[in-house]
Formats: sequence, C-alpha cells, structure tokens
Amino acid sequence: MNNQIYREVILEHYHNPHNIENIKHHTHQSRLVNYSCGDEINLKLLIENDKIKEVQHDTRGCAIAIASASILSDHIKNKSLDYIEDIDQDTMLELVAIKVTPSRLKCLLLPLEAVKKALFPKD
Amino acid sequence: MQEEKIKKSFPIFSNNPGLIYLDNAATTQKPQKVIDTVVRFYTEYNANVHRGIHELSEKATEAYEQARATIAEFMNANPEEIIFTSGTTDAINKLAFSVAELFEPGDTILITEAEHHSNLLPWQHITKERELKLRFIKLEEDLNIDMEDLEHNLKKYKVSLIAISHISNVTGTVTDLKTVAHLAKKYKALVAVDGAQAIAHTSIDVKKLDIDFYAFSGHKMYGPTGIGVLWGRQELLNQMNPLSYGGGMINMVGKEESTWADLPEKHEAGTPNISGAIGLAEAAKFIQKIGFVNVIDHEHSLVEYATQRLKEIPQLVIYGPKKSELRSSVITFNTNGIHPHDVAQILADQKVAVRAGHHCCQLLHKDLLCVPATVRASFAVYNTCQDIDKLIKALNSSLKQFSNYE
Repeated sequence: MNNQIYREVILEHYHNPHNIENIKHHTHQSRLVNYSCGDEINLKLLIENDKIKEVQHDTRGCAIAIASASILSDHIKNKSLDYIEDIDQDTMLELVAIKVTPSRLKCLLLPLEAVKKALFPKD
Repeated sequence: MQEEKIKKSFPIFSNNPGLIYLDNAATTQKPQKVIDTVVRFYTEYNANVHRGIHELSEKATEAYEQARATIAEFMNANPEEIIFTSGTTDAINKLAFSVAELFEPGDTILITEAEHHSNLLPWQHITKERELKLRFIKLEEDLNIDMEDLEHNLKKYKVSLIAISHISNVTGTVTDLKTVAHLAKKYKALVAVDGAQAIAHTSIDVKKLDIDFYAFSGHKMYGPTGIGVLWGRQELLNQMNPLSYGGGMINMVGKEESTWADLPEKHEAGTPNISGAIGLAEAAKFIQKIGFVNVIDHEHSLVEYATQRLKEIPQLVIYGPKKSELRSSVITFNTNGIHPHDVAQILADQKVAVRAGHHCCQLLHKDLLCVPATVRASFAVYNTCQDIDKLIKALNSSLKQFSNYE
C-alpha cells in the first residue's frame, strides 16, 4: 500500500487537471484558501435550469487538492443543484478513492467547500 | 557523541521501529528518565505545592523548587527569576501584557518578519491596545538582523523593547544576541528573546548575553509539553505587574487593594504544572549530561552533512543561511514543482517524519521566502547521518514518483 495516496490517476489529474480552461460566462464563483498550507482554489460555475453547465477551476496547491478539484469538476457537470447539495465528505472520498489522514482531508475537501460556497453561500 | 546509545534512551524509537524523526523543531522526543520522573511524581508524591503542612506537599514543594533551581543553573540565572509558564507562547503573551504597562504611548517595539507567530501576535496586539508602535527591523539576505538598520531604528525612535528569536524555527538562522543586546543597552531598550528553537541546541547564559527576558518551552528540549519558562531580570520582574492573578501570588488581599508575594510566586498564579516543572528539570539534566559542546558539535555535523547531501538533488532549494556554520539544527527546503505537503506525505510513507507548511511564520514565507509553504527537517541529539541518508533516499523516491508524469 506504499504511496497508495499517489496512485496513477491522482498524479494524472495533478499534472493534467480537467476543466481549467476559461469559460466565457459564469453565474456563480468563489475563492477559498487553506491558510495552513496556502492551497487556493478559484472556481467559476455556469448554472442553467438548475444544473451545472460549465465549470472552471484554478487550483494551486498539493497533488491531493488539485486532483480532487479536477475529479470533482468532472463529476458535477450536468448535475442538478439538489444533487450537489447532497455531496458530502463520503462522496468525495469515494470519488477520489484514496485513503487520507485527517491532515490531508482538508486538502481533499477544499474543492467541495468551494463549490458549496459558490452555490449555497451562508451569509 | 554516541547518538545510537542516546537513541536507546528514548522509548519512542523502540516502540516505532524504523522511525526517522526529523520534526524536532516542532517537538522533541522524551527520554525514559524524563517520563519516569513525571510518573514518579504522580505515583509517589503527588500533592499541591506551597503551604501544605503534610509530608507529600513538603516533598512536592521541594521537588518543584529544586526544579526551578536546576533550570536557573541551566541558563545561569537566579532561581527567583525563573517563572514557570505553560510554554513559550504563554510566556511571551504574559510578558507582552505586563511589560507594556511600563511603556509610554508612542514608544516603539521592534521585531522582525522572521518571528514565529508567538513572538509576533502578542506584540501586534499589545502595541495596538496601548498605542505603541510596532516596527520591523530589516533582515539581511540570510535572514540575519541588519545591525545598521537596528541601530538606525534605535536612534530614530524611542524603542522600549526589541523582541527577537534566538534561532529561527524556519531557517535555523542564529541571531547575534550579544550585538543586539549591546546596541539595545546603548539606547536604553529592553531585549526579550524567544528561545523556543534555541534552548535544546545551544548553551544559554543570560548574564553573559546581557538581555532582559528569555522565553522557552520544555517540550522542545526533551521535556514534557505544557511547561515553559519566562526568565526576566529581577528588577524588571519586580517592577512589572503580576503576569496573572489568583491563588498563590499574594501577600495580603483586601476589598480594594491587594499586595503581591515576592518573586517568583508573584508571577505564578494558580496551581503550577508541578510534574511538568520536575520533568523539565530532568530534561535539562539530560542535556547537561551530554554537554552542550557535544550537542553543538554533533548537530553541526548533521547540518553540514544534510546540506551537502541535499545539494546533490538538483531540483531542491534550501532557504536560510548559505554557510552551514551560521545555521542551527534546522533545514528548510522545497523541491521544485512538488508541493511541500506531497513531499512530507511521501516521506511519511517511508517513516521519515518532517513538517510541511508555514511553520507558524506566515510573514516570513509571504514576504521573504515568497512561497506559501516549505518542507522542514530539524535535528536533535539522537539523529544520525543514517537518518539523513534515509531522508535523501525518500526525497529521491518522491521526486521520481512525480517526475514520471512530466
């Protein structure tokens, strides 16, 4: 199980993250920083008919944060807002499919937090 | 130095076979003797200190005061100048709140951008609170204090205190405290030193250094967590208001006014961390037994060897002093293209414990190193050149793992 956390698919997403190209229009956006390590995500979403039409993320940080953002950005496309609202930690762990220690869980969850912040801001 | 033999006196290593512990700047491991001393207190003579007219309390008091004397001797201070706190952070916070009451609005407190948050935030807060001014001394390229700029500040402003770390927890840069203290005296400024990163790595003689305050934590010098020391010059500790108020620090209590006990009790309100203090004294004895000459010599050779080996890795950037003789037992670096968290994770998978992040020095990372995070390997008496070989091997394997995708 050595380095299982950096299995190929994670490194593939890290080196070539999906959905990083500029999108022309967006309806929602957010920026989140993990101040303990400097990881940062800038997220733009285009919502049409209560569904996510387009996603663009600019994620800077460790392999886990970037891979997680890339995987999540694929996953949420064409999904309904209701569905997105229900995505939680367990969904993320299933999607990214790695075992992480509590300290790395933050990196893994940062993209989801950014999505939730953009779509369901708590004032 | 027989570091393998020393390693055997730390049970953490037999309980974690293969562990390469290079996170000593965060906390050091504890020798069996320190652990036994703490256990002995709780199992054989646990009682509260002072004014207990029974055998156990007398014994606890004696051990607690003996611990104070041991620590005083360890740093060439007087026992009544040793104030036990919960750690460096606690010591600096209490110091900031109390010593600032001696200053006048508009006075300047000088610090540097390389300070640990614990030697920055208390001063940032108190300068705002008491209408003092917080100013930053310029740093040279290897993050040493620019002495000309220090003197310039001392000339230009009414500086009441310089708060400075003895050794940087990020770059291992050693501050020339003697020169700082000499300049400070010339302009009648006090010098408060954050010694958290220095206390286990270099001998400290507060009288020779001619400084005014020195703070450190027990857990970074092979002692227990939750215990630390604020040393202060006697006349200043007498002049200052108590660091906190409560039981055990009074002479006479009235409705409106009360009077304070003599040093050191005046500054130690509440039941102290008795077992911690006793354990800390045992840790000091542990270091004294090895001898600082040997500690410094050994750790210096580790730094030298690690620097040399790390330089073999082309993608690696080392921060801090270029000359290893200017660096204490900390090496901080980044590997080009791999995030520090990923490096630390891969090292951890190979049982090499390092730290990744900003190491509680956001200003230093943001303004001086210009990266959000770094990887830090820090050494202690039980580390060996083989530990460093394993670090290098693990680093190479992490680089390989990531570069397969280029």
